[in-house]
Amino acid sequence: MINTSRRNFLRAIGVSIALPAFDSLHAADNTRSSASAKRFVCVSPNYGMNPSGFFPEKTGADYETSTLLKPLEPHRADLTIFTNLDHPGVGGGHGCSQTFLNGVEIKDVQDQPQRLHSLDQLLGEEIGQTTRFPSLLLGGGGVSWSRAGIKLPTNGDPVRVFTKLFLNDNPKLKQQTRNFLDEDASILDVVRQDAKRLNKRLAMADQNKLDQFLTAIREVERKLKRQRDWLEIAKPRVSDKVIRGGDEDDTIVDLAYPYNTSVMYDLMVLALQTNSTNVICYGHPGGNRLFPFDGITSGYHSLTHHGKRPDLLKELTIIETFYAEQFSRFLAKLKATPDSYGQSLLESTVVLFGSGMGNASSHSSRNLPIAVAGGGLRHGNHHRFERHGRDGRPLSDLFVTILQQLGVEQDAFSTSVSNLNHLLT
Amino acid sequence: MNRLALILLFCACAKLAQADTRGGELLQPFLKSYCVKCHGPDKQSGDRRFDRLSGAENDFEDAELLQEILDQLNLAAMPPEGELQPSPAKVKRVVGLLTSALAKAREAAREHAGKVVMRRLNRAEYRNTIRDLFQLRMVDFDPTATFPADDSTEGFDNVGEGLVTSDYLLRNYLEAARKVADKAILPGPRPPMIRYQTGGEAGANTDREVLSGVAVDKEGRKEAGRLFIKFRQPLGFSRLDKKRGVPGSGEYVIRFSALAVRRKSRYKDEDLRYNSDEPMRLSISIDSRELGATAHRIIGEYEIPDDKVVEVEHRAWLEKGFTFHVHWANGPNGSFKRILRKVLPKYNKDALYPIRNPPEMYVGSGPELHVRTLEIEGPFYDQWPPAGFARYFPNPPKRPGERYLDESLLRVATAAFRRPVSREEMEPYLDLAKNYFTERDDFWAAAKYGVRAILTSPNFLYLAETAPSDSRDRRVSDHELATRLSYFLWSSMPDDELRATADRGALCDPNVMRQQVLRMLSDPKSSAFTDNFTGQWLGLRKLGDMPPDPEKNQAYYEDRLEEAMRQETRMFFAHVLNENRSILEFVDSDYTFLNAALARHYGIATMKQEGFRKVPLMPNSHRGGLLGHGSILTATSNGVETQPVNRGVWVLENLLGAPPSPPPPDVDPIEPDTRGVATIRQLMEKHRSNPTCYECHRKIDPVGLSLENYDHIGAWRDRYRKKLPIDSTGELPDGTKIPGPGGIKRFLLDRPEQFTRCLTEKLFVYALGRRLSFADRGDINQIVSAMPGRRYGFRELIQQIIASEAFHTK
Repeated sequence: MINTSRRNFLRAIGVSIALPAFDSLHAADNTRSSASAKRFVCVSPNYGMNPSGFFPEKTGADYETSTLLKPLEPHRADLTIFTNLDHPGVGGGHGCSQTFLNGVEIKDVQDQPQRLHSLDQLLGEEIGQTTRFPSLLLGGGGVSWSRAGIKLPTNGDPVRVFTKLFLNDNPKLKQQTRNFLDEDASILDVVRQDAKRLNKRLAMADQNKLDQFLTAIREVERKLKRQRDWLEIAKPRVSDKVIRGGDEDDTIVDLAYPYNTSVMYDLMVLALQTNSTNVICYGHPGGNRLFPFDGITSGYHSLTHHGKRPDLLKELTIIETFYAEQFSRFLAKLKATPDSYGQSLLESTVVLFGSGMGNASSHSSRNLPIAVAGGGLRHGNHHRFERHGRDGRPLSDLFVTILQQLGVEQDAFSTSVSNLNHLLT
Repeated sequence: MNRLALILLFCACAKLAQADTRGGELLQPFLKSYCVKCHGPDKQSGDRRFDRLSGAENDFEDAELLQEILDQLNLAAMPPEGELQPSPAKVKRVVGLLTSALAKAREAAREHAGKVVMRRLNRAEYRNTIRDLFQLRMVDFDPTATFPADDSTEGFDNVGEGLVTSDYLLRNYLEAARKVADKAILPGPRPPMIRYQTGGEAGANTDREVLSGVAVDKEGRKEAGRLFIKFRQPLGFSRLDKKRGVPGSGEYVIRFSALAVRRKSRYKDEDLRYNSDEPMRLSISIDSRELGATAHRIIGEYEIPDDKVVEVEHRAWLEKGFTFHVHWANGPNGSFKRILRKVLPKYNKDALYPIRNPPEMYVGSGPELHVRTLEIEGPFYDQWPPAGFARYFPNPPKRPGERYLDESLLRVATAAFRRPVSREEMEPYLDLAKNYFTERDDFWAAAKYGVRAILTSPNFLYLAETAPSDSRDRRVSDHELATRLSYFLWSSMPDDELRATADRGALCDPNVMRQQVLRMLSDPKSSAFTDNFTGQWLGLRKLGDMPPDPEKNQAYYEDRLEEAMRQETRMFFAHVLNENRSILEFVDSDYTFLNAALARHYGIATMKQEGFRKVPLMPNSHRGGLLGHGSILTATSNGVETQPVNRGVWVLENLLGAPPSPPPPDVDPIEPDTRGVATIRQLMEKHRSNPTCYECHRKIDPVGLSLENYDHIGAWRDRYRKKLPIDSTGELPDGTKIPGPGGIKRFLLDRPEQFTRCLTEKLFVYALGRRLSFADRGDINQIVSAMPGRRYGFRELIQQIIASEAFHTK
């Protein structure tokens, strides 16, 4: 089943991979093979990017480089910047950061929690089923919502991420895991019967509550089975230099945020390169931490409420420039890394950068800072949309284009009215 | 609340209208004239719209809206200043009409509404329930460590509606059940005792032990017991470290004898990074290799006298796999290498030559903490097998069989489900365990398996109440009542006595209930109520989310002010509760609870003792009541500066019970331009100059600004850092002047009913684990009006809530 030349090729680039041998997985893989891009990465700073430093004035291909886009200048040809994209129904306040990938606020959809399902999780279902991890949620903040409308936790610890991705359990632990998975599956059988029985004795309102439990059982059963299948396949072997530092140059890897940002990006490249996942979200957390950079004297959150004061804006720019520099480094690395078909990872990965918060100083959810890179899309421009009243163009229109680029035949998502294919494809 | 109730509401309105011919047209024109301009088709301020409040086709939310209109009219908060105002007589008539109509509607709602909301155990409740179910020590065993945080609804994380169950959580439940079963099912013989010791007179049967992390000088090796700690490195038994800790969970005795030598030496304190004025302190820490850094914890700290051997015996519960170390808690900081390279040469040039053996030069000349003997012995048990195991698996036979398995699991389920269970309903669980037993022929593995399944059952994970079979009798059963009660006061399952009372069917007797409540409030487990309720009502859980900068707030960390502040509020709350004192003391009091560090922080006359005690407050101390507590003042700041808007919202929400609406979603946020402002007051005035912001901020800002004399960690200040004066005066929308920080307290004390209502509502949500519904208003009104007659006693308030109709019905 496994293409030997492909395996040899991977070995040549220093990564050894065991590929899943399930027919079903391959079948699934084939259906997507016609898609222009195969992977999706989202990077999201919780408090957005200060608009006056982010958005260029001029549109088109020769837009001037703004302060915060300066670090991204080397990638101009692989990058598209958007002005006036936002989620129509979303109000201001801290909650708006979490609406980045679903376009709705939890308070507006209490009775239809499935509407909270976020872009990355939908993609996890569509393009993430052939990999060990349907999606990887890294960093802090968090913009991912499950189909059942539950906000998903993120992992910000590089060592734990590395372990999860690349370290195999020893045979004893593996056997134990095998037993636990089988046992848990039988327990769930019994618990389901019990829940159904309980359901009959409950009032209507409570039956809905118990439905949630039954849904969770189904989900866990599906995941247990998946885990059981993947358990028998060895994880890719990768050097732990990325988290431990090199032997020869005696570098020390700082694993604390924010210095671990570059480590996380390196792990993301490795995860994509080894086909461990096709979908990654990485968040820069909010909070009022004091960034350990020269020139920073106030907490991050306080700085975002700068009220245009130059001293505060200067400090905020230091932090946001750091985000941009790290992101730029990540794009460079994706470009330089070939995927299993020999194509550059950037070419096969749609990379979305942005936040559900537009202007943090006023907690605004309008005019979100959005950039898209790679994925075989047409790049190099800055596009500005018209504003109608308080709304710009729905951000979900961009999401529809991203979905289609990734081979998901869907012409609507969340609050979309159309798509942006005419600008990007 | 259902549609029927609403129809009844409108019938009631209509009936009233018939009685008063002018009243028929009273409500609609009133709303039209005074409200609809801002709450109508064109504009929906605060997300409220009143122009469609008519006809029977509306859903039940309308009744809630009418109630809100009534509240606003009663508070004279609406229509806002500057808008067309109705005459007082007109207001009075509308208020009268709404009051009586809503009371009738409530009656109807109570009779017909199904409002049970099944609640999942939240994280704290799960943990406590496991603790009580199997009588486990949970200090270093936390099966919930990886559970996702629970969402809050209406400010509390025990509200069923907001407690979702994701597949992620369910997987955590499966894993937690596994860990709990391993911890609780202990069929083997008593774990063997270990006794490791070193130094002194070692007995014949004890293991002489090589210590880890110890410096032994050449002289010392000859002389037994001259082990000492140079710096802060840990000292422990390498054998425990290597063996992966103690062999079994249980109580261990750690003994040591130690003395302080040359506390003052020739070396300067700043060279050693050490404070020679403090007596030396030795601390005991525990660690687990398996659990890593999160398990590390200091379990005891002892002062070691100068040149005199002190003997200490410390008893501690250690979980299996844990190891312990002793440290010189306030010893010289930094590495031995640094001392040898940087410090020693300053005092002795010879130290520059390695050949002269600098380590030897230092040893015996600097301060040292000598540990003469060190010993650990255990585990000790009150009984074996442990009580939490024996109650479900009593006197296990040599070769236990299926019958014993069934009986045992039924005992577990009866306790875990907090009600009697039938064998028939448990059949699937019993079969599961029996099949496992047959397959593997391992009784105890099968028993654990059965327990795991029971702990994953919705009957355990949810506080589920069965639907009433008869819509006219909505009373909860005795077991359901016991469960409500114990999760309210203990955040855990009923204990044996409460369960027995429920089994007897005696809990519905009001006197028995009162007795049980008193007993439960006096039980140490009621600290869960203090922690969880204050943590959420007062937002204490947020304390520490935005910690102040360590560089600029050194005392905050050195004196552990954060923990001290939390402790002050906790003790204050517990005191009001335990002594049945007036809840108005939350607004203002002439005492608080302080330790020396916190008293210093508050600028209150020095205290000698270290520990916490009740301290009387002078009238001008600025510390009476919750608003003087550092915990709240810090939790509402961002670690760098005060946030008057946060503080204002906090007071409105948690003391006045009048939360402001969130910023309207339908207006474009104004980007603030605050260049050239000096003080926070000017900054906020600039915000408020926008009319959209002004509407709410005129209520919030004066309250927040009146607390400006408290800085970002709650210390008193008369001026800002740049010497700018603080102006803490203000005026509330109703014209009440607030002359500084005392003003808001005065305002509240003049309106005891408002604070009482606020606290009652918060307690109601917490007690019932659900949102308040419109039908609960009657109960709350009744309780609020009864409180002055009961001198606002806190325990009385709790008794009243537990005695309320809502607490006893579904």
